[in-house]
Amino acid sequence: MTREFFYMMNQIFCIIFLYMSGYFFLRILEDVTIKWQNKRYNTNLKKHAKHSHSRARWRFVLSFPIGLSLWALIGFFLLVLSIPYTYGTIVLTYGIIYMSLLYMYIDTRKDFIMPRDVKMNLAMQLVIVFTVALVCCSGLLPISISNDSYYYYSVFPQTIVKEGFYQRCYDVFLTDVGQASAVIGTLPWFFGFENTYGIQLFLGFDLAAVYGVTIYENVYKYMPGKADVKFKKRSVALLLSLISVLVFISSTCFYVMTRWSLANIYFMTYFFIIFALTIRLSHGEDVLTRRDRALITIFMAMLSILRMEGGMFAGLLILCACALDIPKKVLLKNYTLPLFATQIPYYIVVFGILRVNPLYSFLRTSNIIVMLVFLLIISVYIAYIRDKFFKDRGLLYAVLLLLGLLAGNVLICFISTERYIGNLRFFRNNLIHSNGWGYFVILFVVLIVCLPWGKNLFKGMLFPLTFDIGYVFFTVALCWARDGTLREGIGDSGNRVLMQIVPFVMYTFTFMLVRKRSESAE
Amino acid sequence: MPEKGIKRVYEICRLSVLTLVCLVFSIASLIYNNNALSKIFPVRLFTDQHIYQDEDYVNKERPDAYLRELIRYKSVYVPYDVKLYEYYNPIRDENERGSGFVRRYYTENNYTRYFKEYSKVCMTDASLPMNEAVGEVMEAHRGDFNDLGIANDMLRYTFLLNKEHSKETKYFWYSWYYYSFAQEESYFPHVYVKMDEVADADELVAIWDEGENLYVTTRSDYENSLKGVFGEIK
Repeated sequence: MTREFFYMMNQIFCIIFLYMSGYFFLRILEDVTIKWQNKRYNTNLKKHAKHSHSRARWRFVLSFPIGLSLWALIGFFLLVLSIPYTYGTIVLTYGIIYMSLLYMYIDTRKDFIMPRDVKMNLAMQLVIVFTVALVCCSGLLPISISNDSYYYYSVFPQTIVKEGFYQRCYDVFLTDVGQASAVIGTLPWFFGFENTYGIQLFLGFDLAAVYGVTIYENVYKYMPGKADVKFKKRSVALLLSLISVLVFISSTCFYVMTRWSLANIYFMTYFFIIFALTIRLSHGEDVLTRRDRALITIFMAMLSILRMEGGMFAGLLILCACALDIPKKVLLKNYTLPLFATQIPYYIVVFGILRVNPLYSFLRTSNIIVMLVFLLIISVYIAYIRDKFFKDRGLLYAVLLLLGLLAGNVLICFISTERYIGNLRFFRNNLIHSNGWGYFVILFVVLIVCLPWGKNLFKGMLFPLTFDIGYVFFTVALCWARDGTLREGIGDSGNRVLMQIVPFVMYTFTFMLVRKRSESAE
Repeated sequence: MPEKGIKRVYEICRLSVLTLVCLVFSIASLIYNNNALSKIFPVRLFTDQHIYQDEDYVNKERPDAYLRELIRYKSVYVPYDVKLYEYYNPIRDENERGSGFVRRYYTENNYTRYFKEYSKVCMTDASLPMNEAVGEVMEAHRGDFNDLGIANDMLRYTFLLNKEHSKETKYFWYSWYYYSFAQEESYFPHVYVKMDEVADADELVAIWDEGENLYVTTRSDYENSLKGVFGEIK
């Protein structure tokens, strides 16, 4: 009983540590980025004050993902650079990062008066975090494990901690396991507990919170109404976002993703966070823009190493983001560069230095070349073609992108008809027979029918719609590319990857409904 | 009614119906998640905070999750230390895929590596039987042991513990490949443990046959009931 209690408390402490490290990182980042916009800030005091509630909300929901990212990225780069992965080096790295941030923070205080800010009381935040962590770590919420949960995300991380380096004998663990997910799996062995179930469940709650904040802010932003009906606007936005959150968290896909001890929940969470921040960026400059760009850089690096196909899906998101009015410099520096920064060193270590060559693996030299060429093409497109041919032509670009993805699928079908059609059949069967989908497919059909079809329905929905449709095409194509066939069953890899689309589809539907309401009210 | 009024009423009705649909979906999903879903997506509670769970033992899944917990604070005796790759006089041909693979290098050493890694102390006892000798005798005594389950995956991942010849560790999946494609479950290696005996013992004996069926019992039980049987056959 005593050992179990200590395990539980250690995991709770770990969650609080990750939350606090993310909180302080965010807090300092915000102040530093506001100072960089000093000139704009001085003329827009009111604008800054207006955003202070938003800052507090996003800080609350992003602190834990940031903290988890910092841990994962620090561990990843220590291992890739062959620096011993030990308590000492981790503490030292954290020390360097936070001392640098502290220096920048102190520097911002010089001859610069920070505006009054709405701060959600830190003590209250910690109470909420502790309470949720207690629920998640107590073992009262059921979880599901499979062999991958055990070997990929527990045995392998334990070996990493014991050895402290990447080794050639890790073999297929280096080519099939998302390394950020494995590094997250080392948390128990450093903090003194046995599994990451509580951390994963906590992240699921955090995803629900991020989703709720995203829906609320976008619904509120686009609802019509003058200043004197602000309270009504806020109440309606809150109600709509709560309903949307309820539908999302009650869905079987969310239940499966959060309960199954695999990398899918991590991937879905970070993917959605980047999606939400991209939408924020597309709304134009505000005092949080530079902070959002910095966060996107970190989250893109994290996303690319959470699963082996992470880099490819990150590339898809960048392609979809090209339809928005986001400057080319941001797309290259904050979206694309982090992918190269994680992928290239890792491939050099695994295939160049360690010379790993498993008999069967997801990641092979051919796949790596395809991924790097894909990212390179995206970079070249953004740098030289996008502004020249598609400036202010987002719709045309989005249509061409989707047609291109469709054409790619048709081509694959010609090349390998039997396997491609077979995979489609398995996708279809998994949807129809509700393998992990619950009633979501029925809801999807009902919502499609209930949409207020009209000329304004898709207004402002270019990015979410392009992403939703593109994601489906991309998933089908990628599942073909990984060799092997899919299967019918909840555990099928392709099925689980497709299930990750749920928060994006939910967002799209919610916003289309609200959007139309604002149009008709006008 | 003016047109604007009709539109407004229509919108309110539409959103009310949608809200109702969403609520019905949520309730139906919650019921489904907590009842029917468990047939295809079994879940468990982990109130004891361990990786190993009682359900694994009942379902005979992931036997090494239990085995690691069992041997963590115990001494284990095995027949021999890890034999190096060169001991097996491998024949290498760089041009031939799979060349250099020696199945015995794995079947004879996986468990030794495992116990050296996860037990408190792993010692060798040359008097213990090995391989074919174990198979001959233990099949008749298998009923005295508790079957923890199939050892495929456990053996699949013992390559993590093998740093001797990285080139050969790429054949990690041989157990999974070899046994998963077998048609009869009798081909799969099992982990057999005398549960009643080992719980309170400090010293254990681990022996295995050529098919990698593992047998774990206490030192005293081995001395009293099995050693004599092996001695007679010798």
